[in-house]
Amino acid sequence: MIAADYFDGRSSRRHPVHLGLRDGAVVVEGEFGRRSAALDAVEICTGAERTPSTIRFADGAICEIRDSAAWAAELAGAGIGAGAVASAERRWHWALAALTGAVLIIAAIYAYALPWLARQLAPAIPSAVTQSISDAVLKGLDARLLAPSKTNPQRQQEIAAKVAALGSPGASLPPHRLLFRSAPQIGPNAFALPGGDLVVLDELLALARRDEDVVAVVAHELGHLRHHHGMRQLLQSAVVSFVVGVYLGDVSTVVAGLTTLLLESRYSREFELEADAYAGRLLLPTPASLDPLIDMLLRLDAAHAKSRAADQGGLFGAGDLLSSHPDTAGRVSALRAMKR
Amino acid sequence: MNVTSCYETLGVVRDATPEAIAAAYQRCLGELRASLDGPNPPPPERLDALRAAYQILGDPASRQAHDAALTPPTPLSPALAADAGGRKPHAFAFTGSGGEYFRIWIVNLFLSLITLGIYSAWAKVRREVYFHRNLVLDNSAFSYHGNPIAILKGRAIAVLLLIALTAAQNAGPLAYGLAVLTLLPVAPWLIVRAFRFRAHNTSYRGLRFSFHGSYRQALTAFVGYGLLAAISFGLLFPLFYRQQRTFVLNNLRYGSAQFRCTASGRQFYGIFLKPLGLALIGMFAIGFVAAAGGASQLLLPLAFAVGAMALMLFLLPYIRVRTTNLVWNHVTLERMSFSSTLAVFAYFGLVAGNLVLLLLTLGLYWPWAQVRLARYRASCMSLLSAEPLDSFIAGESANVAAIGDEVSELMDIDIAL
Repeated sequence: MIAADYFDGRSSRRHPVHLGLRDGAVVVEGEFGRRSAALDAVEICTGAERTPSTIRFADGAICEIRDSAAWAAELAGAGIGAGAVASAERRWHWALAALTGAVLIIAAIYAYALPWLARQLAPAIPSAVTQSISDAVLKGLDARLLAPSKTNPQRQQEIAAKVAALGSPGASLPPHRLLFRSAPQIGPNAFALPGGDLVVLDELLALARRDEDVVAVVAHELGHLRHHHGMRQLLQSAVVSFVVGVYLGDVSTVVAGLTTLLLESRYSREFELEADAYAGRLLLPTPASLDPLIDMLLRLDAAHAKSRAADQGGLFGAGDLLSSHPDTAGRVSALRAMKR
Repeated sequence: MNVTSCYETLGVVRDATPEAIAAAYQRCLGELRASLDGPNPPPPERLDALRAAYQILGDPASRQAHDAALTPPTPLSPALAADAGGRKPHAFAFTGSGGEYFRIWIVNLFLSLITLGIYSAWAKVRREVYFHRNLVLDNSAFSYHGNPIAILKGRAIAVLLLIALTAAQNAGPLAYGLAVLTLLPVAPWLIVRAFRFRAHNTSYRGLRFSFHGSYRQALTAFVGYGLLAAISFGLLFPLFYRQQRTFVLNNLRYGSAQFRCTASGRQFYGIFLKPLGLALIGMFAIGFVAAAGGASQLLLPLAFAVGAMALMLFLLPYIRVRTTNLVWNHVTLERMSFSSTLAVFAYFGLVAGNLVLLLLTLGLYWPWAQVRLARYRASCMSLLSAEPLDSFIAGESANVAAIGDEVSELMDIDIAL
């Protein structure tokens, strides 16, 4: 028999009782009298270690047992175990397994599920939405960072024609619009906006030795468009920053922001490789093959390294980690492998 | 001897003079003698009661002690309070441990993840059960009875609402404004439902709590006073805060016994004055820094960071400690009252220590932090009662849906009892 307190559910009066299991029934005995109920007519809630356990009768009366261990033993004697979840909660090795499992699941979501979901969803987003996002971004950039291009319109048209020539009847290019701008602050660069606007900066034209060099970079940007990288990046970073914000928002917005940036840089690495592969397929049949792209990658890297050095290492010297075109050596060797 | 009835026994008002009490005693004795010959003579205990009442009220010291037992108590330490009304403090205690809760928490997290969030309703029940069961008062624990299916339904609706709200936010300011306007009248309803669900699913000694606030009261307390606080630039915020707390407590019942909170608006202003002053000084300092050192771009964010840190580490814990003490020291439950003696500096230490350990463990310290807070809060709380806690009776019971509770949880509305 185990010592317990019985409450009749109608008043808060405590009745000290003894209780036990007899023939599949809970039996409660004390000064107030005796009460028994079949096991399946009561609700048993067994607490962990020092947490009290309760037995609830159908009419709302309860029995509170302070000695949960003794009660669990009594139940076990009658062949009633704690639930699977309750048993797992009681053992450290199960807790550690759950911790490992939780970490693995979160890592898998981050590494596989989220990119997969974004890849499925991005093409399905109506072009009106992507175009409006694109327009808003371009407007913001034009207002602050970008100036009108000084390249003469004839050269612009020549480049556009060479880009268009990349497409073949079997593999048409993704819808795009070439825009020329100047931005000394940004340096040599080109970028694609989700709606299909492909911005080429004068500084990139200055760095290029031939038109083929520019075309090669544009082919890489077309790869971003072809794979909807802009939209995918937007979707993934929305989820990542939301989760990180919820998790770390209480700690500090700076910490949350840096963490988000770090987590997202991994995604952009994959996108660069994917865009390179697409550009490689476009450029392989051209006379110059992949050489202009490899050449431009190296020259861009050198140019950015120079400007980084001028910035004195950028943010905490983490420039490499946060750069959106990392690991140039790896990309170049991937392209060389493709050429062979 | 029933302590409430001394004045009633003699038929005098509470502030009667000693002369008036003596006169009333003589009159009662005369009436008693006269009625002894009548058709229904009074029971012999009547004379004893009169004598005892006069004995207590006739002596200034014992009358004072008697009064103290009647009035809602002023904040006294438990020991002092016990002397005054003959009431004994019953200490609250939290018996949970960080390790135990960590295991519950991590298993909950894992199962919620692999079931795509569905298990989170069961996880919530396990968490609440753990924290209720380990809160002990006078050798009996509290209990939680939330039904996971009800919580799951509430959670689903809450998530849909949140998605709709986010969508409206993205659709533009007009749509968002409309959504907020439509939600404003719904909010008090949700709040009432949330408190009903929580109270109804909490029990102690086999009796349930219940909540009886109305939609209109919630509308006044949350929306009405909230708008007042907003248009007064926060000057009326302490009143808004008081209104929320009293709305909750004055509508809360344990069994059929009613909670009452008598903390006044003035007392709330007393608490908010210091942090408000400090916040103002801080903002002036930031403004000054911005005006003077406009050239330094680093200083301003730094000042903001320091300000946010001070808010989180000191201002909010300070307000929490002082208001908790104020509220619970002015709560009565029938003839019982409460004592809350949270200490500001001890609480600062707890919050700061928890934060550091959370950072060092990448958040894994969370369950220990929660348990430490619960343990400290419980250890500072006691119930003052002259009689054993045996005499409460059940109130009427009702079934309550979980929707309000879930929405308010997702929207981060603080509804801690």
